[in-house]
Amino acid sequence: MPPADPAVQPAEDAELIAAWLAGEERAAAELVRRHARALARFLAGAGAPEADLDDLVQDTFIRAFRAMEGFRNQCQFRTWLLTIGGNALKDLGRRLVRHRIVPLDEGVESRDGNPHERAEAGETEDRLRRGIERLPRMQREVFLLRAQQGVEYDEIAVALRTTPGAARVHYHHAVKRLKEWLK
Amino acid sequence: MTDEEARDIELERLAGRLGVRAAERLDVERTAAAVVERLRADRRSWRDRWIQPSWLRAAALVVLMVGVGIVVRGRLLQHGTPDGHYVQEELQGLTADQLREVLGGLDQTLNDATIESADDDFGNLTTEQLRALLQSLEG
Repeated sequence: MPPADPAVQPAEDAELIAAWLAGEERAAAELVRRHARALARFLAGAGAPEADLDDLVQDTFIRAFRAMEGFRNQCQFRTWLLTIGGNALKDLGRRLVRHRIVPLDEGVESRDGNPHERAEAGETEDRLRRGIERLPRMQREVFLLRAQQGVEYDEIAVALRTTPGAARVHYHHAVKRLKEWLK
Repeated sequence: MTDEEARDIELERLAGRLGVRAAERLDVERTAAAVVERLRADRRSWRDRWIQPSWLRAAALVVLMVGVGIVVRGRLLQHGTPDGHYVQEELQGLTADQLREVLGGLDQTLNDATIESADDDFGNLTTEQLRALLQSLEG
């Protein structure tokens, strides 16, 4: 089989980032296309209200692009983006608490009101989602990065500024708690 | 496989499905367009913020330079040139003969006719008058 034509190979994230930094808007759009769904999954899994999911995804990308000059490829762009999403979600939770005077857990919990879809999601999945929302932030993010996104501990550690060993411990505690809640 | 291991696998399977439906509902193209538009607006506002102070800084610099020029010119007119000031100080310590000598030296650069008529008058001047004359010549 002949080698693939390099001209038609999709650009690496690093190339798109460099192009964006050089002022190319199409590179930014391509990065959004690549990572928006994974980010939405991560945010929804972490308890983002579905009504706010679109805005939250946009805000996360805007924050990431603004901070792009500080990104040094220390981890995958997607992993870095997801941790920024975690910060955006935390800020949203604070805003909801401040403006609607509701508890943080209630504020960030999904408000998808479609009963049919809720039933379809299944009771176990719903309980898992609620369980994840109740986890401490570090455990929640480590669990989602590992179990939902399949990120390695080494990379989780870099993205969350901890050690791989600590990341494993957070994951272990998260799993233990979630299994207890799902019993 | 133990029950514990089976539960771990089930947990990971469930976690892998979390948020899938919400993500599928996301309109990726619309999101990409909205993000690019916001970034564009970001850059515009950054440029506006930068350009406005640049003009203000340039205008302030011009005003400052004009102001400094006016002040310096005013001081020069008020006190004379720095050289004039030094000449005045030096003249203070000279005797009448020395002052006549200085005047004689200055005369070299003047018109011959003027020197001749002036030479006659210098001898009649007092020390103070000679000093005043020299100071007026130095400006």
